[in-house]
Amino acid sequence: MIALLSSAFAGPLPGEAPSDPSGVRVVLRGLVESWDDPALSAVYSSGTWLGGLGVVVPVWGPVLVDVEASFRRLESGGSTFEIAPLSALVEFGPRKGTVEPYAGLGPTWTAFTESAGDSSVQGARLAAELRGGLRVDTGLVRPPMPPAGDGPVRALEIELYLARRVSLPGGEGFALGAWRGSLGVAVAF
Amino acid sequence: MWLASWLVGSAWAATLTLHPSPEAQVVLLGSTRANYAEIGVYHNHAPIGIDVKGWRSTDGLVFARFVDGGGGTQFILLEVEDGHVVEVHSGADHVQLRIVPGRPSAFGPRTPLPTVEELLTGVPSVPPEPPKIELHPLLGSARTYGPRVPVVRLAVDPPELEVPSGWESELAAVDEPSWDDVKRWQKLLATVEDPQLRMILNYRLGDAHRLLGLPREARYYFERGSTMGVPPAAMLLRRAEAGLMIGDYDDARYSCLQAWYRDARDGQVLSCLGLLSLQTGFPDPGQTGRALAQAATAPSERLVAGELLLRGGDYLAAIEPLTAAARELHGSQLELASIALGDAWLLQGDVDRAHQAYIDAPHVTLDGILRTRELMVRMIHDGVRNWPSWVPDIDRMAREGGPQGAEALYLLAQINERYLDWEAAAAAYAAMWDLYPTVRGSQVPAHLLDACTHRIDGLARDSRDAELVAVYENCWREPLAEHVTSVSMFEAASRAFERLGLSEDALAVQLDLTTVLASVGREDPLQLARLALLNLAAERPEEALDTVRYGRLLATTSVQRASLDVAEGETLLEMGRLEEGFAALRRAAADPTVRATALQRVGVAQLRLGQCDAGLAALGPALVGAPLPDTSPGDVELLALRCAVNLERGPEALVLADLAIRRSQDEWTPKEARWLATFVGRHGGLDIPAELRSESRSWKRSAEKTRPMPPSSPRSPSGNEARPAEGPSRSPN
Repeated sequence: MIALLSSAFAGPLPGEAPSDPSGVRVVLRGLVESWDDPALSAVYSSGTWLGGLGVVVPVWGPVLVDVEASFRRLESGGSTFEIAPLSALVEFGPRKGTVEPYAGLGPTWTAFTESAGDSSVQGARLAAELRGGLRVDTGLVRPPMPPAGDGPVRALEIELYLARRVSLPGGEGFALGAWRGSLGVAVAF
Repeated sequence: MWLASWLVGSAWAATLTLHPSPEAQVVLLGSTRANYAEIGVYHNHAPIGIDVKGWRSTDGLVFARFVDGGGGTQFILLEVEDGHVVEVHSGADHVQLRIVPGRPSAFGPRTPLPTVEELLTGVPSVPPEPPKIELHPLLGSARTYGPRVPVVRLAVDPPELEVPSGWESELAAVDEPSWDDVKRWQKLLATVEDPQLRMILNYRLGDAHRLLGLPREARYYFERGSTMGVPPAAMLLRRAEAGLMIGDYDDARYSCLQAWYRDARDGQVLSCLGLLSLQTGFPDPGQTGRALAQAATAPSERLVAGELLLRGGDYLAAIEPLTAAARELHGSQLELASIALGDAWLLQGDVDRAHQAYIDAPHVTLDGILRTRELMVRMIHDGVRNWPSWVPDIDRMAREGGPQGAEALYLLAQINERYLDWEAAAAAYAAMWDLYPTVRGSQVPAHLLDACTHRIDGLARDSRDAELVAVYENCWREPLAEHVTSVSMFEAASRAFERLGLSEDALAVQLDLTTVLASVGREDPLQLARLALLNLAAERPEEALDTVRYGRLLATTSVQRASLDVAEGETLLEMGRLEEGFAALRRAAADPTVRATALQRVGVAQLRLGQCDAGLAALGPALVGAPLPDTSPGDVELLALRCAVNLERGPEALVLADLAIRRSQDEWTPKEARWLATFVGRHGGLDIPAELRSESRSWKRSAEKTRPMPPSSPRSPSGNEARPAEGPSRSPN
């Protein structure tokens, strides 16, 4: 991590153009959530890790759209709880050198299934998510020197964010409000 | 004369001794009939069936029947002569049942109806009635279906909660709560501090989650609510119900008890305990069913009572609550009640009513069970002779698995038992044991062991050793140890392995046997003596000596000590400690029961050690009579033959050669015996019968030449030289 951060702040070599992460980014995220629902926390866990995948698309200047899907299955005493939050946030992220701080807001659709034996209960609820974080270019992908053409990967970034999900009216099921955190690796194309 | 009669009558007429395990509880149960005594034995893992089998009709005792209820519970039914009663007296390591003159005070219900408190502290079971029909479904805790939460819920009325003024609308009960109600109450719960308000909100949230099909979350709120304010009995019952649903039986039991303290209706508490009993076997199903049948007011409670009575073996008593329940229930509950009612009628021997109940059952989720019941009824109508024609259908059903698979396997086992095909019956029971763990606490393990013992005893009688050990290996599973009531199966298997030359396997089985006996505190020094000999056969002399030493600590009789001496003597001889070995065998010979064996062992040892004079003197007459027990057939005869050849006792050698050839079961012993006989005949000038002549080419070649009689072994004057008697070497064939 230290090596990555060092390389991120090292900048391009003399005579070399900086990398350009302004394209579409695919982000592999490791998330942690802490749920508001006390019963759910007591039965399963007050917080849990989720695996997620995000796609960040530049729309106009520093305005981006970040679509994220994540999933986790928990088991406790013969019952299984599955949660799958799907979010689509509009983010504002002005870039400063190799660092891009950003803030975002948007809707989240959180689906869940709890099953035990033959019975299962399913539901999904609408929520709003407020997110703030930053993306740091590692500088590990250097732009090609002319006359060589561009490769498919334009940059490799580290991403970190904190978020709060607040449930809204709409849908059926647990009010899955949560504090969220994520550490991810973004590949810009 | 009258004085003598009076004196005899005043003493007890007979004493029957039981040896249950130390933690066992032996209880004299109330009897429903004069001249009968029912004794319940609980938490027992000792094979007391052996004790009961050993009882004979003596003064006062007419008949004794032993019933293994499974799971460490057994019953003994005694029929005594007129004017006698049974008393139970506990000793240090045994229990005496004394049949004494007297009149029972009254005959009424088997035992008084238990209270909730008694059920919770543990009340003894009553013996199950034997089914009054040839074919029947799985019984007791092995029953394959039954009322469970959520198909059957506790009949709980909405509680009258004291809602503080101003909160009535916020905390009003909702018939069909939605997720929005849940969210609303959760928000409210996060803001209020008043314990009564928080208790009510937790109840509302728990009930909402229950109705939304989320028992775990429901249990969370009921549990939290139970610790605030004054929780109503309804909350505790709902908590118990949720606990039953998610398998937290300890919490369910605790909640049932708390509900009882909160003045829940007896029917509710007993229904709660009943559902618990159906899942865990505690409190006792039969007793809980009896109490619930009296207290039940709701149809679901009657259904639970009927099922409990069926599990407890009180089939007649189950009919009334099940009939009442079937009149009022519908859907899945009616299906359960109708099949249970059919089973109750069937077990009472009324096939027609049973059939009608099965027909009346709606097919909801127990279609497979209903198919097995239909098949059973048709087979009973068809008669025992035609049962084999149904086997393919039953076999197909058994392969389907699930509850109907278990029932089908049980049908197969019953058919095979009826046809005395013990091997097939054992196979069906073994398959049930492997595939359906729920049958392990029922009578199935006892049936499995019984079928195996029958089959193995039969094979042992016919000396079919290879089949015997195969059956044993299919039958025996270590967890069956607690159900063993007879060790004859192990003895037969161990001896069969030994006869097959598989010493290690024989030792393993004998170890199983001694482990079973040790686990119930019934170690047997005679079995330990045999274990020592098997250790020796498996070339573990040190372990053999350790076993003998341990056996000596337990030995209380002369026979036991002498048997251990024999084992020790043989081991020491094998280890080359000759003086100690012979001393041990001579010590054993002091006991008249073991004397013949001990002296024979001395003789065999002398032959092996080349002490031919002494060995032949000790064994000669015994060898001619019959093969020596516990030796490989023909081996000792061959040893003696070599000695006779060395001592130039021609006629004696020919007799021994004949015995070795006839008794041996391998191919080498007869060849060697013929070679030696031919040798003796040729060089001693004796006429050799054709069957004793060697066909060996090498012998024929060597016989062309004239050879002197081999010199006899150098012997000390006492004839006690220690060189083994090898005789002429084996002829290569």
